Amino acid sequence: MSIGILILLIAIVPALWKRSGTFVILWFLGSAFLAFEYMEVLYSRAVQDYLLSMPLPLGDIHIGLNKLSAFFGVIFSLGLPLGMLYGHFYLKEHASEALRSHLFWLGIMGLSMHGLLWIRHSLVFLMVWELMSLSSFFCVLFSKQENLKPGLNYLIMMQVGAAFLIAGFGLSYLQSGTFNFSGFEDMNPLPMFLILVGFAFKAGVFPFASWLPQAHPVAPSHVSGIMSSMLVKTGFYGFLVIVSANRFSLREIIAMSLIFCISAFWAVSHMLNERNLKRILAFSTIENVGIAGMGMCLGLLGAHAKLPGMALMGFCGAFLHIFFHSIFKAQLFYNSGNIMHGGGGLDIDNLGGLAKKMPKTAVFTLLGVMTISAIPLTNGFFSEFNIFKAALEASDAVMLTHLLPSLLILASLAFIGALAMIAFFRFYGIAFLGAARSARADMATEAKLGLRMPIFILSLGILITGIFPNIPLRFVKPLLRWFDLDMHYYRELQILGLQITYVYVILIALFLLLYVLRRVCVKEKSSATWACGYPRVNRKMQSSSITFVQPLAYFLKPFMIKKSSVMKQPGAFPEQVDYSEEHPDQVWEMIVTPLSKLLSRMLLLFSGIHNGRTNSYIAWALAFLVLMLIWVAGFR
Amino acid sequence: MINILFFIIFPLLFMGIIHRVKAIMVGRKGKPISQNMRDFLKLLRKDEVISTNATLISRVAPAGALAATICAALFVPFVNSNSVLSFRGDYIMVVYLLSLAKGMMVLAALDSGSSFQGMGTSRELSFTAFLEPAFFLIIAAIIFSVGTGSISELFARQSITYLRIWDVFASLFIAVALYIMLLVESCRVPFDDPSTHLELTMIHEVMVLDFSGFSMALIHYTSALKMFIYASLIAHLAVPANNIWWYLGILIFIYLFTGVLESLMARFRMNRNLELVLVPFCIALLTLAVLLAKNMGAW
Repeated sequence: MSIGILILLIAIVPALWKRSGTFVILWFLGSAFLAFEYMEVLYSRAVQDYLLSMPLPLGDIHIGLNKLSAFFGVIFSLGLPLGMLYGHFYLKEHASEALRSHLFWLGIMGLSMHGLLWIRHSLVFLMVWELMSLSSFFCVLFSKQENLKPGLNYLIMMQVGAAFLIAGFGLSYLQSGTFNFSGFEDMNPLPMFLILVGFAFKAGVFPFASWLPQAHPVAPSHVSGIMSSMLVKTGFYGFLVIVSANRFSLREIIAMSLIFCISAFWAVSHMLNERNLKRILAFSTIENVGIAGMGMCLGLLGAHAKLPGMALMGFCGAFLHIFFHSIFKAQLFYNSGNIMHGGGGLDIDNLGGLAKKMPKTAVFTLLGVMTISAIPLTNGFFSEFNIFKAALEASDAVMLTHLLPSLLILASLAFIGALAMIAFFRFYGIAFLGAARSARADMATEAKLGLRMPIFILSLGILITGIFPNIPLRFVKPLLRWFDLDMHYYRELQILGLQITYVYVILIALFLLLYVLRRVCVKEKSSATWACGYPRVNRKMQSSSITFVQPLAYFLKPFMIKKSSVMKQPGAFPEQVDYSEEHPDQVWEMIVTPLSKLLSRMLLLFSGIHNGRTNSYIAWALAFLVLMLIWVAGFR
Repeated sequence: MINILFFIIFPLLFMGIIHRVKAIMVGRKGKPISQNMRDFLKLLRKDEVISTNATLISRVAPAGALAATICAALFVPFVNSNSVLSFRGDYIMVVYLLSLAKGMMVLAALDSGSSFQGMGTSRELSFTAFLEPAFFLIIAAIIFSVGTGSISELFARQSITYLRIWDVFASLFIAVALYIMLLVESCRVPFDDPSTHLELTMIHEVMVLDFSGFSMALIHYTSALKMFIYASLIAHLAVPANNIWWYLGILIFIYLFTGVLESLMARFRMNRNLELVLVPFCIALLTLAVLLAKNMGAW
């Protein structure tokens, strides 16, 4: 098929010899070849199409690329080698005897992610999908005992998702008579719904997203970065495969937009309360998938309402958000690895004052935080700009049923965006600014050059795509055309992008002017923070992560379930009071845990079958055969 | 060009109006209207004291916030109803530039590690969560009424003309919503008291406790400019046919009214504030609903 995949296959050999350096170099090389191939498909008329004839259960296997998979392919081939590079340096810091298996599974995971994009045959797709789930499970494990539970939880969730996919693919086969993706066109609603649910498990959409905040915090940072920024996107790729081949009824579109809104809001309400940095980032992945989904829904609504501008801007916002999210989320996760390593933990209440101890990480993280809160000058702003614009474009719609969902998306996106901004400024303010909140954070050290290098490259990507939005616009252009959208509005977006660049130039010039003026005019004196009569501010007096969201938590109480406990010594003047609060994931507490308990209790009923006597086993087999005979005979 | 001059010179002078009105209401003579401007110029010449906790952010933030706010002001119509810059959909840019300014100040406030500043930021940020959707809904309402365009076009087109009853209705409602947003965003009385001297009860002022000198001057100017932007938007809504004298008159009236309001009202309870911040959101929603019903032919 291609030399790129071949190189990536060869990369597994040095992985087996624990040569992570060679492994990474091979990954860079292979990804370069692959990226070239994807770009070719994306920008020219070049076609990658193969037909593999196999024995009957499989039939003719269609392998190839189209614009959609090439788009995701470019994202993967840019992001994966950087993740591997970060992993190389990360693994040096966290030496583990499991290096061999970890590298092996890392390679398999990357390969299967690429493989998914090539395969256009649902059975083989499922195999690769399972391989991807399995290999990422092993990557999460990282041979640590405490990772087993969240890891297994992830694997089981993926299996349940795969069950939905199997059912959906099977029904679609019954309908169309082919396993190839060409059979996905104009599907019946049931298989379509099943497949979408199956992909939603991977993409991290609300009721099925409980694995993200559990698996990400325990996984090594490069794995959580790759998973959160790219692996999750394979679920979204699945959505788009279905969306591109089917027409949706208005009711379905509205249902989807509601789900994405709820998903994003649910995630953001958790982000506001979370103390663990990686859990914040994991929830933020759910939120960002929700935002990209909102863009997609706006696009579908626009197409349904025959508003070409809205359709284009909605889809454009969704694609751009997917692309940008793969950059900034990876950047933030790699940063979180550096913070954990340098600052001694992930609990933001134990960090604090890192900006002084780790100045470079602080600047990178600030950039990531700004992007994820969609602040101008960064790329996150431009994708949300598109989605907002699409939602406002709905004003030309004639039917209320088109208007109301887009207004809902408009308001909830603004609300969710603001809450996400609060959550991330809270994280940055508490972890990086002020004084150190624990003795360990006082001894924080800057991360090594190698650990900062991939982050630097990603940050450069954020700035370039942020300040010159026309570059990423050109990247999504073939995809927009492939989705059959009105390119007239694309030119309008291009002009907008240029104007935004001009505004940024003015902004930066003004800022530099004022800043230089200050540097020239002002003499600085340094003194302790003013503390209203206290001799000095100590680190316990700073605003903590809980107090910071208190005003909002008061208001959003119905959405934030809290378990708090106070430990107090008896007596009128207790010397020590311990207060702790916890914000459990509602879906996990209320649905997943009771469901799995119910399931295991039900399975207990059948445990009597397993009695260890051979003759009874033979009896079961005989009974089964008899039943089968009756069934088959009955049908004849 | 006239717009640039206008918003560079006048924000602080207009703040003077509020102070003067408040002084007169309580029977004092009050400081001259130009006093804020003089304070600003004096602060510009002063040196700074910076917290030992402070990092680069404290040094960068005031300049960044002002630059972002000026950039936002370039899109807003002032005396001349054609703004300096404009493109279709620039309202999104304006909202986010203002939130960039706010973000800068938030980080700068957290930078010093003071407990008061943390409190102030958490309050200020929780207001934002409800104001941003409100602003977008307001924009959506105007778009429903007059069609798409840039922010200056929208606000120039949407104005009270007595020939069209719906415009009067929409403009007035939106103006009320925007006025409440103005009070919240520039931290005026029912939500925050800029002249209070108890840190525990402050919002915006407590965020900038640790700033002095040049940075303080920039911060004062930024908040005055932000208020000026909102006031100017409201004035444009209420002006028929972009008459300059009407515009100036309404602008002055807004500041006078704010001064009077501050003298007559006490501030609200802190933890109930957020419920009131929802009011502009609700008004915008209501306006939108009515306009929708009208467009769908309910009347």
